[in-house]
This record gives sequence, C-alpha cells and structure tokens, in this order.
Amino acid sequence: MGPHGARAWRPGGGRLTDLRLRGIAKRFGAATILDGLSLDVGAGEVLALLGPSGSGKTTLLRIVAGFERADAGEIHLGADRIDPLPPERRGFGMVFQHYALFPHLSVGENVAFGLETRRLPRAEVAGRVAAALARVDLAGFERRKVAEISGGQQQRVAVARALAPEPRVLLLDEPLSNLDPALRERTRRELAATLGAVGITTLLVTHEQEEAFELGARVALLNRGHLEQVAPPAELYRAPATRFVAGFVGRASFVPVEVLAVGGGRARVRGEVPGGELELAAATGVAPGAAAEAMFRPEQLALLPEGAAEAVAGEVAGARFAGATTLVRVATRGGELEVATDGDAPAPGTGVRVGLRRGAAPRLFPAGGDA
Amino acid sequence: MSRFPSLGRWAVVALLAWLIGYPLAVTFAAALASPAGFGAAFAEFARRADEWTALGRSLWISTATVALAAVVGVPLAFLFARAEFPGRKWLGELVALPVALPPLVGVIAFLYLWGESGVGTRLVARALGLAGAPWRLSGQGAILVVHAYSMYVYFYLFTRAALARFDGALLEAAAALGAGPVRRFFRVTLPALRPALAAAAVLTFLTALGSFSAPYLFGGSYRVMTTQILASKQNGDVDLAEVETAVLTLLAVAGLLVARRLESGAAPARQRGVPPARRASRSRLAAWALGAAGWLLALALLAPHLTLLLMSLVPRATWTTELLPPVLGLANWGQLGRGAGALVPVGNSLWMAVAATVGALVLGFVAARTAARRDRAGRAAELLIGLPWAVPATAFAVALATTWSVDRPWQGRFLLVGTAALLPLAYLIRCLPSTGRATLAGLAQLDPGLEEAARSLGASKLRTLWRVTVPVLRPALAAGAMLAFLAAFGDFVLSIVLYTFDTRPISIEILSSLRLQETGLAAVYGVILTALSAAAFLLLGRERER
Repeated sequence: MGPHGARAWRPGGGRLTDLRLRGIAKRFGAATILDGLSLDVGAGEVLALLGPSGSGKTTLLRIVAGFERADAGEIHLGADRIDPLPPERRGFGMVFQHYALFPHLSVGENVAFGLETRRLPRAEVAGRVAAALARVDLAGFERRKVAEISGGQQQRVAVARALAPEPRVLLLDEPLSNLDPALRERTRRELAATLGAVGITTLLVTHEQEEAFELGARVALLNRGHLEQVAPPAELYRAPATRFVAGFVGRASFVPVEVLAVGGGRARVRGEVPGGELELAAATGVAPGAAAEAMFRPEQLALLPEGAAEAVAGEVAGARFAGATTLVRVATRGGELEVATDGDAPAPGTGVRVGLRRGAAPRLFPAGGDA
Repeated sequence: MSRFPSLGRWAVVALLAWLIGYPLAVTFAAALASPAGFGAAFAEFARRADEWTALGRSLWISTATVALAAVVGVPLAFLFARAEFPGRKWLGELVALPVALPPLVGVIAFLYLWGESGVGTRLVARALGLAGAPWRLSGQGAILVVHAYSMYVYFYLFTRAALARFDGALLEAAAALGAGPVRRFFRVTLPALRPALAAAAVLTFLTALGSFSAPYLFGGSYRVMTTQILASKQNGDVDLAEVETAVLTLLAVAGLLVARRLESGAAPARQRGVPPARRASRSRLAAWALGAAGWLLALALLAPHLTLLLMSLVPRATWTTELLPPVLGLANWGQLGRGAGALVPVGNSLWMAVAATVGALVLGFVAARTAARRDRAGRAAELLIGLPWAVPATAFAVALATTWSVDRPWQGRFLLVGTAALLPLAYLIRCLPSTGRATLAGLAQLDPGLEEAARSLGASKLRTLWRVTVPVLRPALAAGAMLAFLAAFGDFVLSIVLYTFDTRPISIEILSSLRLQETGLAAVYGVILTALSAAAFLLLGRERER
C-alpha cells in the first residue's frame, strides 16, 4: 500500500495494526487545543487517553476519527498514512458518548449498518449481526427498537455496532459516562472482557481515572493539549513524571521544601517533612536553591505516637472514613497532609505527629508547575 | 458534517438569492426606472388619492383584523386550555381546522352561507319576517368578518401552546401573596402570554396585509393594496403595479422589522412546572352549557363548508326563491365526467402542488442545511428563506411576472411567463419558508453524533444523508411538506396573476365558474379542493407524528 494510503481500509480486516500519531496540532483562534502531540498505540493494545475536561482529549479523538482536521501532523495506521482520508475510509469503529444509535432503525439494523457497504450475502450479514450481539450478551435483540432497551443495553449495542465490521482500530469516547454509577462498574468489566476477547487496537478517551486504569494497558495523561506521561497505570501512580500527574492520579499532599543537593535522580531536601530532612526521588527540573515541592501519598504516611522521632508535628483538621482506611487531614506548618490510618481518627484539634511508613518512596517536583 | 465546503454554501445562498431576492430587486429597479423618467412612477403613485386610500385601508384592515382575531381566538384558547367539558378534546382540534383550508374556498363558502342569497341569510330573513336580505356581504365589514373567521386560529393556537407551557405554581404563588383572580390575570398570566400574543399578532397582521381572496370577492370598489395591484396590472398600467408592489413589500418588511423589535423586548417565556389543572365546572348545568356552546361553535365554524357541500348538490337554476333548495342531485358532479376539460384543473392543481412541494422540500433542505451553521452564509440563507413568508403573495407574483417576462440569459432572466413552468416555480418559492423552517427546526434537534456514527461505520456523505439524516428528520420534513402542499394546492393569489389557460388550477376554475353563474360547479370544485386538502392534512399529519 502506498505512502498516502489511498486504499487504506479493506473489508474483512481485523488483523492487528498499530496506530501512530505524529505532531498533531490544533488551534481554535488564539487558543491552542493540541500542541504538536505524538502518541503510539501498539497493535492490539488498549490505550486510555485520560485528562481533565478541556484538556483536548475529545478533539484528539475526533481528529483521529476524521471528524475534524488537524492543523499539522500525521496519522499512520500500520503502513498507511490515513489523515488525508475521510472518516468513512479510515476503517475505525467508534463508540460515541451518547451512543448515537440510529433511532429509526432496530437494534439489528443498527449493527448491520456498517456491513451494508460490503455487499455481503444477506445470510452472512444476519450471521455477523447475531454474532456481534451475542458477543455483548444481547443475543436475540435484533428486532428490538432502540428506544425500548435500557441505557446499559444501548451502550452494548453501540459496542456491537462498532465491532461488527471488524475495524482495525476501535475508538471509545467516554463510553460509560452516560450510565449511572452502579451500572457503570458492571458495564466497565464487561467492556474490558469484550476488548480482551477481541484483542483490537483501541484508543479510549475518558476523564475517569478508574475507567482508564481498568481498561487501559497504558494510560496517556493529557493536560492543556500536551502529553504529561504515557505509562502503565501502576507506573503512573508510583512514579508520576510531573506534579500534574501526581496531583491528577490518586490522592497526594504537597509540601514546599528547600533543595539541598541533587544527583542521580535523587535529591536531599529540608523543610516541614518527617524528620526535617529527607532524601527522595526527584523529577526533572529540580535544582538546588530552586523552589520545589515534596509529594506524599496518604498510604506513605502514618500517624506516630507522641514523641516519635523522624516525624513532623501537626494538628488534626478533619477526617473522612473511607472503608478499609480513614483519611486524616493533618495541618502542619508546611501545609495540610492527608494520612491514611487503619485505626480511628483522633478528634479534630488533637496534636499528632506524622511520619513515613517503611519503604515509602515520596517524590520531589519543581514548584509552580501545572496545578 | 463539520465541513460543508464554504464554496458550496455560498452557491446555495446565490441560488436562493436568484430565486427569491432577485425578482424583488428587479421589480424595485423597474419601478424606479420607469419610461417617464427616474422615479416618475413613484411620483405618480404619490399624486393619486386612490393609492393613498388603498394604502390606508390595507393598514386599517390589517390592524382591525388583529384585534378581531384576538378577541375570538384568545378566549377560545382559555376555554379549551383551562375548562373541562364533554367533547373538549375533539372540538379543540376541530377549532383549528380553518387554518388548513384554502382561503378562497373559505371565502366562497362564506358567500354561499351569508351572501345575499345565502342559506343562512335566507333563514335569518325568514325568521325576522323580512322580504329581502338583512345585510349585504360586501365592503370592509365583510372582509373583516371573513378575516376574523380564518385568522383567529393563529391567536388560538399560539395562546393554547403558551398556556400549555405555563407554570400553574405562578398563579398559586400570586394567590398566596393576596392577588385576586383579576389581578392574577393581568399581573401574571397576561405577561407570560406576551411573546405568544406578539407572535400571533405579527402573523395575523402580515397575513391580513397580504390577504387577497376576501378583498377581491367582497371588496367591490373598496380597494386595498393587494386588489389595487391586480387592478393596475389588468388595466395594463404595469409601471404603477410595480410601484404598488414595491410599496406593499416595503410595508410588509417594515411591519416584520417593527414586530421583531417588539418581540425581542418581551421576556423569554421559558417556564418549568405544570400548567394549572383543568377545572371541570362545578355544576352539571354549567358543564352542559359549556359543552353546548362548544358544539354550537364548532357547527358555526363548519357551517360554511357544509353549505359548500350542499350547494354542490343543487342543480343549476333549480333554486330561486325557496328557503331551502327544492331539488338535490348529482348533476353538478356529473359535469366533471362529461367534458374532457372538466378534470384538467384538478390534475393541474395536483401536479403543480406536488412538483412545488417536492422542489420546496429539496431546496428547503439544502437551504436549512446551510442556514443551520451560524456564519455569514448561514445567516444570509436564513434571511432569504424567510422572505417569501413576509412579502405578500400578490407582490411576489407581480415581481415574478416582471422578472421572468423577458429572455435575457446574461442577466439571469429567462422567459417563463406564459409557460407551464412559472406557476409551479412560484408555488415552490412561496412554500420555501414552510419546508425550510421545518427542516431547520428538525436539524436543531438532530444529534450530530448520528451522522458521525454513520461515517465511522463506512457510509459516505451521500449515504449518510439518505440512510440517517433524512429518515431521522422525517417528522419535520413531513410537517413542512404538509404545509407546503396545502399552500400550493389551495393557492389563488399567485395563480390569478401567473396562470395560463393550460395550467389553470382549481381555484381559477372556481372563479370562472362563479362568473358563469355556475354556482353548483364552483361548489363541486370547492369540495374537491377541501377534501384533497383535508386528505393531505391527515396523511402527512400522521407521518409527522410517527
């Protein structure tokens, strides 16, 4: 196939292909929506594009799908360059946020829509529709009207419709945000199972961390039009590359500190931290003398008995019961620390000392980054 | 679709401008540059007292019609929105019927019922023991009565819709604050209805200003602008007709602009909550009285059309001085089968209305698609689609006759006058606001994700349009098509200016039958027109609700 991918998508695809974005840029007037962004989704990989609203993730997905044109950049699908192609020739399956099921067609006709242009024999279309519906546990729903089925069923029809033509890439735009919380978790598990069974290259856009972590093998965190970090969920949580990632993924407390020395990816700092001085892993951009902030996860901290060394003093400001643990907010001179504790929270106003748990690895970031 | 190419959008605007704006511009230019010198025709217009009289009468008739229609329509709306009585639902729909019936047929039916030798007039005269008719159905009184009869529907429908959206808790809040029923009506209900009343008033005013059938048949020497234009044109005074057209058009557009200003001042009536519950009358007697009044009203509204049916069964010259026709038969209907030409007008009306409706649907869809995006091309398209609605039909007809009377391709003008193409084209343009605005309303509610979903499933733009957009918009398109067909099929105003013998529609045949004293045959055509209009109303109305 040629470099411009004139015959990019061929029916009956379904083979694994990787998706590569190179330098994608988009502006609306003076506002930069996407700032020359590059991203690879491996063949058969599920990549979750996570970010707050307004980060540009939906714009990026619409550019990949072909509904919007990028100002600059290229999109490659396997050996083909596909960004000059109209949406219908890119061969992507897409699940829309509000599902976009055709209200004038039945469930079966919706699923068959993507097969109609293929000139397949009727029996084969019917067979594929049945198989696609069976895959999402909706066997026998062909003749139902779209308005007659529940929200969760509509979501599954949308997935079946997108997968029926055996696309090379699946795009999911906030596929679960329209469901109520109880249903969302179950549907998320089912979707994860379906994606695992099909093994299709998938780009998922979401603003929900749980969704990204359960469905994505890797998570790309987008902020103000640029990628902050692309990594598996655990790495994103344990080794956030930037202060933004640390604050967006999971819970974290930040304490301003003085940087004494930097070297080998680690730094020594002084301030209102357990023990007064601490050595920790440093992100890029940290320098002696420059303002910096130490980041602690609640489970890295512990409430210590009165008089314990290697601790920082504070006063309980409040607490929130969170099931297995209780999150205690402790006001110190350096700011508020959130501490996870197994026991009961002390009453507000109680003086406490906060120390590091054994093996905890807090991190250091340059101050004044993206909040 | 996010990228409708800019060039294509401007091409649509250019097409609309050529069809709608250009004829008006040509007529204005022709009116200014009359043979006697620049502006001479306007000076002549200003010198003539009868022109000023006609202008004044047009304004007076329109204003008085608004007042009368409001007096009939608003209380009726309150009755059907707030009271409960036997037969309310059925009657509520029936009361809106006059809007679906061709204006000319309504006028003729009125003539048969309340004209000097009408059935109703004879009954009243007999009851009062008079030798002759107690009134004459002519002049401004007759025009106003017919206007009120056919246009109260606007006030009725708009007020009912507003009352259905009205939050009953507002009335309860006012009552809790100590306001009595009168104060509640004037301080709470009426202000909430203001936008609806303003919209109804504008629609009624413009319809009355452009009204032609009633002044033409009842006016006699009482000329308004629309009849004045036709008289000038038929007298061969083309320059004067063009000036009159320009003046009437400007008047209508000015009225529209003033109305827009008034409307924009009104608070948007976006209400939450539920309307106050219907009150079933406390006593059985009152309920029966209301019910009886409702049924009498419905009968009064349907009486003209029932009279039409009756008259179609009265053979020629069998009814002279008797109170009721002595002989009934199908002789008039038989005339349809006799002459080969008798059914030609029915066929003409049908094919021209269908062609115009299909054309208006396609063009209206393309125009609405362009207007849906709020850039400059979109706003221009929206303005152009609205224009044929504001400009009186008589004025539009003269503008079309002026523009398409010469063959100058380099000016974008072709000789269409005298061909079979002009009348359907005129209908098409006249119907464009119906289909265009209906499509626009449908597009506003269309989920853009549907089209994107179709594209992502491999459907081309054309296939997406055909398989997704059009089917989803079907109710809106059906509503637009229904209004377009009714307007084209029942048209009289454009037809009388632009028809040729070969394309004469039913309305023209009704008129010539009347001139030949063939009252029965005129009634037959009237019944056919009414029946087919009602059929289209029901057929497309059902489609609209799917």
